[in-house]
Amino acid sequence: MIYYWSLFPLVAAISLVYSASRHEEWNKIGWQSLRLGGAILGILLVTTVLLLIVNTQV
Amino acid sequence: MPNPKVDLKNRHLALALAWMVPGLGHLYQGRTRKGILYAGCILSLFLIGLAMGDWKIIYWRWVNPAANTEAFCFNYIGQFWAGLVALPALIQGTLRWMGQAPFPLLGGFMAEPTQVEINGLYPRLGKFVEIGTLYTTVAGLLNILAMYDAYEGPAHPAEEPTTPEASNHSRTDVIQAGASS
Repeated sequence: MIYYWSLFPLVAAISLVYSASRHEEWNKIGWQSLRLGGAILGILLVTTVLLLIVNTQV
Repeated sequence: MPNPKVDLKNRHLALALAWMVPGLGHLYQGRTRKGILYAGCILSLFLIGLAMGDWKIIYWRWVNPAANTEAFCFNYIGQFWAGLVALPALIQGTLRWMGQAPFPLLGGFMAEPTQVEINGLYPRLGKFVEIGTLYTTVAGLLNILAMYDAYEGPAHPAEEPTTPEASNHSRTDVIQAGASS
């Protein structure tokens, strides 16, 4: 279970660095990194749920 | 094409500095807070990943990637871009390829571990070996983004402040252009 927590620093670093490379204003960097981090986590969550459903049906 | 709204100074030098130490190119350009953000994110990701793998997951060996795909250190292609922190692996790998002992100042740091050491990592650390490898590789790839930002500037720079005089002036220009056509 501890392995799953290692996802958060990775997603935080990716969203912050990507957003900083797109914008120069700090409020925009902050908002975009929040949106991007949320989107990445959301996609990963949906993918996990889908795979779990498939896994339980097969 | 460089961004005209951000003073990139000598952008070639900034690019080289940004590779050497993540964020250093931005500090040189006077973009201090951004430099600290890049350094904090990239270096901490790299060092945490390296520690997760017991400081043995970054190494390089000179092999022909087409002839010996199993021995080729594919992750190091990404890890290399984290800068000078990943360079000892290249130095140690080159010394080994030349048949020399590991560089004395570095000790065995980032030298290729023996197969017994590599095999011993997984039972002891479990998935942290893979997660550490992922962290260090992603840190290197993220520094490519930071280097690009140091060289070209941000994709969407800050908006210029619009004053009433400026907007009136532009409206007059449009009216004059319309009257002359």
